[in-house]
Amino acid sequence: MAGRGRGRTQFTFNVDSLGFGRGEALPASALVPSPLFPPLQFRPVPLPTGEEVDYMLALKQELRASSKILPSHIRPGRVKIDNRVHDISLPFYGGHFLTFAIEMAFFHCWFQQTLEKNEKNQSEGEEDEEKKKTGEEEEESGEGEDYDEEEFEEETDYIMSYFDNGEDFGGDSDDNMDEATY
Amino acid sequence: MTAQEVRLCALLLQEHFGEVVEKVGTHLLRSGALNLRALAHETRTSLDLVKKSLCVLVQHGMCTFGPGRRGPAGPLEYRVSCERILYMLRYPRYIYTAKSLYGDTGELVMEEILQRGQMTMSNTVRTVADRLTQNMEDGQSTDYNDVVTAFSRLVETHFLQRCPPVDTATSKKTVSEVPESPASTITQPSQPENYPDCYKLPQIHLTGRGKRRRSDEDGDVGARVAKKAKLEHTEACGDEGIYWQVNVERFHLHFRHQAIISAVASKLDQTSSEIVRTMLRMSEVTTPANAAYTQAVSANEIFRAVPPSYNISRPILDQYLTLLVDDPMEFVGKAGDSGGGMYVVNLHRALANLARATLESVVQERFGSRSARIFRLLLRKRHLEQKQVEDFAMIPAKEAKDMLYTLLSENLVQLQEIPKTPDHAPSRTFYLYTVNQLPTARLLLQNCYKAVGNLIDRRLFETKENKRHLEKSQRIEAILGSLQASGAEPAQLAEVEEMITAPERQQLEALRHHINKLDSSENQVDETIFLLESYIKSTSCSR
Repeated sequence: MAGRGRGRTQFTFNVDSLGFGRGEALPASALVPSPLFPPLQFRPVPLPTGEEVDYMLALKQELRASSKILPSHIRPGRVKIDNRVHDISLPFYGGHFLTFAIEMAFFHCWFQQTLEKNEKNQSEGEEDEEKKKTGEEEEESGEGEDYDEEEFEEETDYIMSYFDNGEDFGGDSDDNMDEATY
Repeated sequence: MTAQEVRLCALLLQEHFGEVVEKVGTHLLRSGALNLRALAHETRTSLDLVKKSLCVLVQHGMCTFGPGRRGPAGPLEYRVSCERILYMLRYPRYIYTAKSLYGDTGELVMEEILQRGQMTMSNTVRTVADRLTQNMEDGQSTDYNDVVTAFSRLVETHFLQRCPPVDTATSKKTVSEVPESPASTITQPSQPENYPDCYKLPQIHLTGRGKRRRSDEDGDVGARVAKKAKLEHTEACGDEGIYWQVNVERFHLHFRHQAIISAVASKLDQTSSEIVRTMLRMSEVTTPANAAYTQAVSANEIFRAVPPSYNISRPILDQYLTLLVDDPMEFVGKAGDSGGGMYVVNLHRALANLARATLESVVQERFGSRSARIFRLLLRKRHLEQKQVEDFAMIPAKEAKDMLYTLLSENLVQLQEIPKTPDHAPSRTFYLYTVNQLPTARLLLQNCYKAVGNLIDRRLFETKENKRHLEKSQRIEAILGSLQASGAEPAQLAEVEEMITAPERQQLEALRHHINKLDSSENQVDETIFLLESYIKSTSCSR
């Protein structure tokens, strides 16, 4: 209380460290939030270049592309254990079931056997499928399955049927040469 | 597991293994250990898919299982290792190292095993021989023996190791009983290093040459036949049940040594780095993992082991060693005087110096060289007042204050209060600025994880934006390829090529350039991640 009048102009800390003296204008107040991407003061250093860097880049992209084709890439598609298996999560050819817990050992064994059976069925059913494809295109389920057969889910970059049907396209293009096609 | 690490793991799992594995893996990461039923229930996925995902994760060494909370009688619990998933970023580096050490064969062996997680030796040899044959000219093929040699060398230098067998619950008994005793529950696999036959090569009877897959057969049927052949290819090669996995710790040791050697080379000169390389090579097998310094080697031994092409005479070698010991970086230390002087390489100190250099360079690139000067000052002098900082750094007060506060707001610099009086009155308290290397390294490591997550996100975004263009260009390429294979005229080819307009081509070029840049940046950030992780791990070991 005694200090109220006399000590009114004193602060408890060193005022110089604030950056502005008494009586000066306060720094401008912020009216908007700070920007989401504040401008960079210094540009980042350019990436290193060289043979090693390029090779590792190529390796990385290859690994990414091939991991999508491997059996360990699991798609949540339907697993139909009948003549037409359209889920391509095939068993892994290196796995030994004893390394998995026993509850999955039985699953793995069963799964492996079932898919081995389907491998054989599928190779026999291949010719049937070709005929069915053209015949059953009206059917809804047929269409869905054709879609699955021709294209895998959107993550892959390649549409499989085009690799097979190169000769067909060559025939068709003669007819459509005059029109703009995409 | 921090939020950034979990986010990055989710992105990596999705890229390599798909959405289902990502969902299951992320949930396990977040919730710790869960049993199968709980996992299926909480992720609302069918039991089938959960089992498949767990199989994939176990195969790749990212998931372990063991007795749960209810003890051996209860259901098994699964645990996912965040660290192991993050190592997926480093796969290209592992493969490149294998290539530089063991050539193309070694590279392909490493690639196959990394992609599949675990493989038998015979399987690997066959696949790699086939792949090598595919790339050779017609009529040539790779002998299996070449691949077996490369594989053996990888195992001898410990880059590959056997997958440990799953321990049985009664494994406390003598070793001879272990393979025979069946158990009602199978517990988690033991540490690979504890398994005595970790690096023993099996005797396999595998002769032959790689087969070239005929590409002119009908694509699908050919693949089916090949797959059927593989499935039926159960000829016993003598190594059933012996699976091999990549020993990532060995690779990390190799990378750490490389980092130290290149640091010495850039600080001193090529010859000193050769000497350090020799010392590291000599003590590789005798030094335990995570040791603070290598086993001591005498100057005489170093002299004998230095490669002769360098032509270093004995007195010169002694001078170099003295120079290395006196260097403030303290890469090499003197441990005794017998045998001409016993020298060690200070591994942990070298790692700390490398981490410090990384931190300083980060500050320099983000805030400028004057802020970096303040940062280095604080690293060396530990605690300084604001006035002292301004004086020592020789920077005018206002700017120094600005920079200090910027660094403080980014959490790179901390403020330490030392009160003179118990009431902590501001005018009677010392405020000292300080930098702690370990917490700052952890902070930057999390920033790195976030950066990689952002890079992957951006790449996925760019790909999605231009999906239509990408698909179109791939279709056109496929058409072109098949046209060329079936021998079409150049007019037709030109016609098909014109289907992509010039601005579209430009856009695709730009997209490819961006994606390459983003990928390359990921590799680059991973190198920093490796350094910082090694440093942080080394500090926790030495406690």
